[in-house]
Amino acid sequence: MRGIGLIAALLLIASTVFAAPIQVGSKDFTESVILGEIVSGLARHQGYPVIHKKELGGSMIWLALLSGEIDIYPEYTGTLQREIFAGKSLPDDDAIRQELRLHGIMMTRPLGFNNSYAIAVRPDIDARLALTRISDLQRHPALRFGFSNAFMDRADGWPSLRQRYQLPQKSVRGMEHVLTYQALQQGNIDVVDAYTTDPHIAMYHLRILEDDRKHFPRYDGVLLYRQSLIEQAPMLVEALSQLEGRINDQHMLALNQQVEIEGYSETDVAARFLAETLGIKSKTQTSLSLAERVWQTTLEHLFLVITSLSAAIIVAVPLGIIAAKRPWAGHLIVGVAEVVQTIPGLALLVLLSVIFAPLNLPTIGPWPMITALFFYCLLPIIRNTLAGLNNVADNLRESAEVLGLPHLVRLRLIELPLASPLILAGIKTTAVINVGYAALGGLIGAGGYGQPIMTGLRLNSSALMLEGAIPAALMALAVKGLFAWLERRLVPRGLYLSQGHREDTGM
Amino acid sequence: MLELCDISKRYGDTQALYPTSLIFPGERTKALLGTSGCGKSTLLRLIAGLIQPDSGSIRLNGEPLTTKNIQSIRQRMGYVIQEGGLFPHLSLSTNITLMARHLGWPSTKIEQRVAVLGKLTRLDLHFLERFPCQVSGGQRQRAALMRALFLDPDILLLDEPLGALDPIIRAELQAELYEIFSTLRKTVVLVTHDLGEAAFLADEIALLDAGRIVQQGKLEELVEFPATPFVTRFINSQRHPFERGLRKCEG
Repeated sequence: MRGIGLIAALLLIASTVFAAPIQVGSKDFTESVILGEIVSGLARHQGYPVIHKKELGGSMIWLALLSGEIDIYPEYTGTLQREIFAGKSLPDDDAIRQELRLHGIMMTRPLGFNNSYAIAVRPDIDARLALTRISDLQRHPALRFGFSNAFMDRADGWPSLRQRYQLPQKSVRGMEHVLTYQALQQGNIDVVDAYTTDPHIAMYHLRILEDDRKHFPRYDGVLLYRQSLIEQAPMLVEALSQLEGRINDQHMLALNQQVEIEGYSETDVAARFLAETLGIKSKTQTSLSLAERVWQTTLEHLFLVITSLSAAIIVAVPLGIIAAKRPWAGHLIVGVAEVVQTIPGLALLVLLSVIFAPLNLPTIGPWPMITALFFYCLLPIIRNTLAGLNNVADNLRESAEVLGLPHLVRLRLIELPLASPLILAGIKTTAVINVGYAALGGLIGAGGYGQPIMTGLRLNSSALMLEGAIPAALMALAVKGLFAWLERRLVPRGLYLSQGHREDTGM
Repeated sequence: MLELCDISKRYGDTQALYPTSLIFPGERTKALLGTSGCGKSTLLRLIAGLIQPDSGSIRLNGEPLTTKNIQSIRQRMGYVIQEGGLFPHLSLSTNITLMARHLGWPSTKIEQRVAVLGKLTRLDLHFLERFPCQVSGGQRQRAALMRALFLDPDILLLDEPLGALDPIIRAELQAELYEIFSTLRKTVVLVTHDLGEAAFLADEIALLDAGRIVQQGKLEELVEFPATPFVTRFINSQRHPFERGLRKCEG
């Protein structure tokens, strides 16, 4: 009994000393990241440790909140109504709030701005056709539409908009949101989707068409947080009310503009907002230098690559051996690995998050990414192990057999060493591809080179994209070099020499 | 002594070996002679347990070979194939001592055995640390023979052991093999297509054709009392080129 009491006391002490940091989430666009930074700054001001997981993919962030991997993130009432609770037809904020409570989630009152979807037209088209309302588009079927990928897919996006307004246009393309503005400028498209707080509307002098049939609901910015946060961080929850109604449309637009057009970091913009609006001197986080940032993303990237590759080697080499020894099992193993290989990267991540969420496994961060990479690594290693073992010459296999060596000894001393060049080649290819694939980690907050690439895409900043892309390319080259060296070390010397290589005493 | 009793082997539609009975007496060398595809290699692979006969049985010193005891019986067999079958990733000495080390022989015993066999096969011991690709074909076959003899087997199986060597080395090694066989007095099964090699190395020849033994005996018996015209044709095919060449020079 005393023992249990002691453990309980220790746990209590530990929980106060090592208070779990508050996990703030944000979606993969600027406004969400700014709001995430504002919440983080507020929490830090209250003395809570904070981790901000930025730029999480749209559908995953909600799952991450439900599973408790994040505690709080900015959301929009319209998204809750039309996307997350699409089938429930919730008429107003109270209904949403009630529905959320069933999931243990709380919602603040609106922060003050309505970031609705809007349909925008290029200025010269507007001048020519004098469009004012979305229904005016019906009369011009030749107009070319370019919508962000999210808008193409969402329940409140293009499919229902087309139905509501009976739009006849045939040329409708989905693309990255930042690219729609470029395509617009180059005259490749005429009509885009936009957010009402998007600073590009003013910058490109776009004409916003009136939603005359009231298709788009209100997208009031709110904060969603887990009920447990009330106990974990009562002062923060109280402070959140200070944000309610404090950011109107113009204000949010201005904040977005400071980041997207003027080039300030979200952290700086959020800090200035907190100082000016709430009089909070945020504890300035020293921003990292380029070298420090690259060093950090490199470590994160290496973690993703090394962990997934090591696990894959441990699993795939034995599977390759089984496949070589038992052909029927081989067909099954290679078949399954091939199927996994054909799943597109993003789809695999979403699939994993759907599988992981009910199991209480992490759906964001490095682990789901490592799992996905692990699956991608399996096939090439299995296949090369199989090929390597099948390539062992019959006369050598038989010589080993007639010597009287048992199966496993033959495998270890003869067959695997003879297959080692091909097995290593498989691992090398896998490792190089893995370095590239791991950049997908930017989508689910796994860190690594994908993070600056994602941010660069969002802000249309080539400098940031290169900050991820160049080190990724260098790492791929380094991995290749490393394996060329490992090949000399690990392939048995006699075999290396018999393949026509020269004796190299320098190594 | 090795006894084969009515063993046969079929690959799909091809009868590689018709039911065959054959005795390899102890301490004697018997050559399985024939053209390629006659069944001589199949016979050797059956003895080595690499393939299973469709019928019949094989006995080594009275003990029948089964899939269960083949592993232990193989430790009483030495096996040398064309090109030696040495493992390219292991040095000659590792190749030679592989099985002894697996069986946990003490290193002094291993060293002694290496020295004895090195002398017997006339392999310079300074070659031992080299890899197979770093020595000549003749040295490779010497090492392969050392590996086959290492556990002092009851029976030695040789499948065209000198097939890949150039003629001069081949003649030298034939002479050495003869000496080794006479010294060790083991049961030797020698598969070859070379009549001269068979006659020189073996006490007795079994000539095969199309999966059957056509005739057994010493070379002079085959020459003087050929069982079928094939025997004469086979012998002449190897004797005549040399004689024809000689006659042409003299004439």
